[in-house]
Order: sequence, then C-alpha cells, then structure tokens
Amino acid sequence: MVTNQELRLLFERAGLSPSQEHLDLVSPVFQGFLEQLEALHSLDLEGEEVQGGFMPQDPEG
Amino acid sequence: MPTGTEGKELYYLTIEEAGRLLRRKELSPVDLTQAYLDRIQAVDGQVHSYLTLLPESALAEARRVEGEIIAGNYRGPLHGIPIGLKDLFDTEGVPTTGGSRVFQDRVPSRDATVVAKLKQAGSILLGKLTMSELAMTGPAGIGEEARNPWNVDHIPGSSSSGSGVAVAAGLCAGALGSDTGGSVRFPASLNGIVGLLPTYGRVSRYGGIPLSWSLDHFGPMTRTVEDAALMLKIIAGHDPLDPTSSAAPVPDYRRALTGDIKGLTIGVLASFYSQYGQSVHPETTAAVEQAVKDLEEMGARVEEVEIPHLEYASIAGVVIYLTEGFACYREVLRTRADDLGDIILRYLYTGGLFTGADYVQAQRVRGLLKREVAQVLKRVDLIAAPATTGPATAFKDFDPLVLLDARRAAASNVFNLVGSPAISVPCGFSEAGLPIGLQLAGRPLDEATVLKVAYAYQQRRPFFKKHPPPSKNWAGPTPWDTAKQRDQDS
Repeated sequence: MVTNQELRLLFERAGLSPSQEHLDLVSPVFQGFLEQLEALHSLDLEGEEVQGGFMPQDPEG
Repeated sequence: MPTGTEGKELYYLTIEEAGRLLRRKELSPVDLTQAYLDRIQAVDGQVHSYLTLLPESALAEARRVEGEIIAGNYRGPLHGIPIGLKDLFDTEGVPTTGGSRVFQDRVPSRDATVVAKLKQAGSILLGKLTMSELAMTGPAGIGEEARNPWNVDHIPGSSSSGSGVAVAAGLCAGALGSDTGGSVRFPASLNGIVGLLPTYGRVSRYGGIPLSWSLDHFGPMTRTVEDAALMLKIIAGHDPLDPTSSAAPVPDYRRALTGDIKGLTIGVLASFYSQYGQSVHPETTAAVEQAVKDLEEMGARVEEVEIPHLEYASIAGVVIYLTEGFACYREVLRTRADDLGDIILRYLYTGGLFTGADYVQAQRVRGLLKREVAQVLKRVDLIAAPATTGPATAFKDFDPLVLLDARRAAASNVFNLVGSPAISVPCGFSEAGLPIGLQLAGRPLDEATVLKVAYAYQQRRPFFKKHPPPSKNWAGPTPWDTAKQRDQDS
C-alpha cells in the first residue's frame, strides 16, 4: 500500500505535482500493479543483462 | 474509364481485386474512391471510424491517378487504392492528433515515412481514423467513439479502433495501425479482419506519434492476408530517419503465398492455456483449436510449446511502455494534464511512478523472454495462440483499467517485447456473431512464413467473405458532412 504522501514524493522526484483529483485517479492503478511488480522483482535472473532494445540487424542477438 | 464491376459492392473489393481491375483499366479510381465516400456518408455515422475525412483531396488525387493509369503509368498494386490512416501517422497539411485534445490543432509539415511510401505507391488517402487516446488502451480522446460494425454496442478493440472498424465495414480498402502491446491485432481480431505486427525495425517509425519507442510497431490492417502482404511490401524497408530501422532486404511477400504449408511446424502455446485457460472465452478456445486442426489437416505438423516465463510478459511490457510513455509525455502531464482523458492520464502518471529498478528488471525479463521465444522458434516455424482472450466485449462491460489484468496481454504483448512478427487472422465467429482471431507469430524478419501460413488458412476458411450486417437506422451528420463543410468554408 502506497500512501498519497508517498505518491506525492514520487511525483516530485519526477518533477510533477498532480492535483488531489489526479492523485485519486492514479493511486488505484499504481496500487493495482504493485503485486505484479513484486512478482517481477522476485524473479532470479542470475546473470541476465539489460536488453537496451531489439536490434533488427541481429535477430539472434 | 469504364467500371467493370457492375452489381458488385466496390467497397468490399480486396486490394488485390481492385488493383487488378485498376491495372486493366476496368475500374476507375474515381469511381472506387466515390464508392468509399458514399459508403462513409451512409454508415460512418453509426460506427464513427473517421476522425478527419478528406473527400475533396481524395477525389482530386483519384482523378490524377486515373490520368496516370490511362497514360500507361501504372505504379503497382496500391496505385489508385483508397486507404485510411490511424490518426497518429503524420500527414503533411492534414491534422494529426494522436486521438488527443493535446494535439487537436497539430498539423504536420511533412509525411511520416510510411505515409510517404503509401503516397509514392499511388494510394489515395480517404482520411484519418479514430483511435484510443495516444494509442493507449481505452477511449478516444477526441471525436466519437468507434463502434464495432458486427454489433455497435460492442467495443471495436483498441487502440487502432477506427482502422479495424473502417476496414471491416468497407469504409476503406486497407488501413495502417500501430501496435505497442496488441493495438493492431486486438481490433483486427474483434472486427474480423487481418492485422499484422511486423518485426520491430521492419517498418519505419519516423513520423508516428510515439507511445513507447522500443515497443511501437506500425502495421497493415486489411480484409485479406494477401492485401496485408501487398501493403507490407510497400511500407517496409530501411529508413535512415529511424535509428532502429532494419537494413535487411524486403522480400516479395506475395511469392510466399503459395497455399502450401506442408512440412511446416506450428507450436501451440500450451503455457498460455495452462496459465490463463480458464480466462479464455470457450468459443475463442474452440475456434483457435479448430484452426490449428485445420492447419494440421493442410499438412503442417503441430506440437505443444512452452514459453516458461510468459506470465511475466504483461507486467514487463506495461512497465516498459508506461515508463517510456511517461518520458514521451512528461511535459504534457506537467503543463496540460487537464487536456488528457482520465484513462490515459492514469496510465501516463503511473509510468512516472515506476522506478529505474522496475524498468531495468523489465528489460532483463525482456531479454529472457527473447531467448525463450527464440528457443521455441528453433523447434517450430510459428507459434499459434488466440489473438484476444474473447470476442468483443459490450461497451457497458468494458473495464478501462484492463492493463491491470495480466491474462489479457501476455500472449500478444510478448511479441512486442521480443520484436517478432505476428498476425491476427479471422478464424470464426461466436454464437452472437462476433469475430474471433487466430494469432500466428514467427521468427524476426520472417514475415513471409507468417503470411504464408495465414494465407493458406484463409484460403481454407475464407471468413473474410462474410461482412458485418447492413447498417440501418443511421441518422445525423457524419464526419463526412463536417469535413465537407470545412472544405467549403476554407
């Protein structure tokens, strides 16, 4: 559970200061993703490196 | 130029059929264009596929094209073909809004690369098509909501909603859409047409309003697989203006359309059914299983395949495209948030809340999925799955927070993440008469095999010959009237 105060801090870091009305719209969406985010981070990816993007010249890479 | 198609509905000719008649001078591009404009005037008031209609310029271009063809300067299969464009492709001198009030006064000074290529091929632009705001899932930000022509109380699928509707309802011969997590394949499936997600890099993204730089793909939406092959041949190819554009040569896709699929292997995505089976509409499951059986009877070998981490495709995709979407539109959020609709606002803001750690982890999962899909595609030529988890939902039942529902997107999103080509081809109808789509995905840069199998299937099961029910009870002004009035005023 993320509080409105925490959401405000996160938005401030991103250079935004949404209205309370907008915060009320965003909060349930972000909360809805938290469980899936937790699952994403629970994956043990060992030595998996970041894929910056698909390289069309190198379909195998 | 004579019209050699008396008694036929010109607006339901395929691109290949119309092109053949145009080439032989048996059909006038002016008559063909007028047939579409008349059709739009008659029925678009009910399905709202057009945001901006260009009747005057379309007819002028048709007359010019007619002169070229009469003079013997036939340019190819799209010469004289009337098309529509999702309203995120830049068109010189024509409003391009991304379906958002934020861009409602935006008039580009040059064409997107795909638009330039289609114009160069001689196609005729009928207008710009309705779309979900900024190509996110959900409603249009401006204009009327597009409606599914098979049942106007049902959603047309997002985000290339107008493209799907216009092609299905005979309001253009073909259209372009964009697909970041399924936005070509969803409306193709729900409207009973063909939608192709090309390999990432195959089609230039230059001049398209972005949602997610690393996941956006542009692709054709048509009534037949052959038409998709014809359009792809035109729009594909290297573009120095797009840093992710592939330099790989573009084959003549039509040559792959032999109808023979003997010896090819189709992988059925068992993991999708094991994880989400209960969430897939039984009529969709039955139609896709029948389609796979058909492919087997046509000579393909079928085996079950697994993408072990498929269940993470949805959240990885969401993190990447909402984060990139936030980066694209941070300034809009900062200065014009009130001009955004509630749905896009929620999702774009959410993209600003994901952390760097979230984005990096999502990209690592993307790498993992890429290897897993590549492993599968070493064993089989194509992967088959439902294009959507069910037929079109009624508007009243549509949940705009659909991104929270991971099951919806996993089997479509994964191909955006790994950059592989995938197609949705009609594979039947529900009892309520709503279309169902089969998705076939292939190896990167191997659209030819995807098209080959989809084409062979469409020859066996020509669902494309069935059209939406006739539109009745239309009333009130259409966008056509509005556009005509604007042309007159100017």
